[in-house]
Amino acid sequence: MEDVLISDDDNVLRRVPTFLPNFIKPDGTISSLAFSKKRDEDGLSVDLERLTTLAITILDKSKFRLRRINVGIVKNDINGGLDVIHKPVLNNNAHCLITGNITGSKQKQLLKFSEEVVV
Amino acid sequence: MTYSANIGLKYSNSSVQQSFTLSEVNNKQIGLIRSFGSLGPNWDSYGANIPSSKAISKAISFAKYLSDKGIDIFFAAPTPDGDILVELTNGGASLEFVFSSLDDDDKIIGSFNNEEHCEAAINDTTKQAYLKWLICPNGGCPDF
Repeated sequence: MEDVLISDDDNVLRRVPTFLPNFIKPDGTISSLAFSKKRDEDGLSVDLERLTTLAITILDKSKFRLRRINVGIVKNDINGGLDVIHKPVLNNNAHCLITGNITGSKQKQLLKFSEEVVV
Repeated sequence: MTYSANIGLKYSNSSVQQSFTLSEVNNKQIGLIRSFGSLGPNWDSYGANIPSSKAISKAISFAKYLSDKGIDIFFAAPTPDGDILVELTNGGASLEFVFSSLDDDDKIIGSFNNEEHCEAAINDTTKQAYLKWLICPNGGCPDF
């Protein structure tokens, strides 16, 4: 796999479940669970937008929505030691991790600074 | 004992109701929480755990407790760890109760206008204190 440098201008994508379970609340807002990770994970999985397509990343439009967040915002605005690193996995060279201490407060900020992507 | 909180007067979008009856909302939420038990692994496509039966059971018990207090659940969902999150709202304030698959790891997170405000482990004392903070922040709450 190629060594990929991630710049502050890059964007990353995160799937949000909308079927069962549905992370969209009754008022139309999205739960910050959309940016939560498991306790034992090294980081929050995202896809680097320039290495994928929206159609590939969303997997299934009937079950997921996509949120986009800028890497510079993750690293500089939300800050708190968050970083984005390239971590390719089998069949997904675009896979990255948002690393650092992703607290509940950070989850809410990640959600706040992300935007809906129309696929 | 009757419960007549000063809710609804200040919070027009409150999810808190003033009746003791088991609400349709909470009945639906209990059904939804039960349905999380049928989720398979990787339900979020990022390797999420199957929601644990223990967490589901605790969340349903809490939903029944809330019904007794006349409080409706606003939102419920599993977490990637297999925990269950139950959210209550009142105006700009919200409480997220996270029921864990692990022992003694349940927590409450209080937020105001989407900014995290406070967090505590769930026990009878914190549960009541946080519910009072949500429902009647200016005091005058009945005992739960």
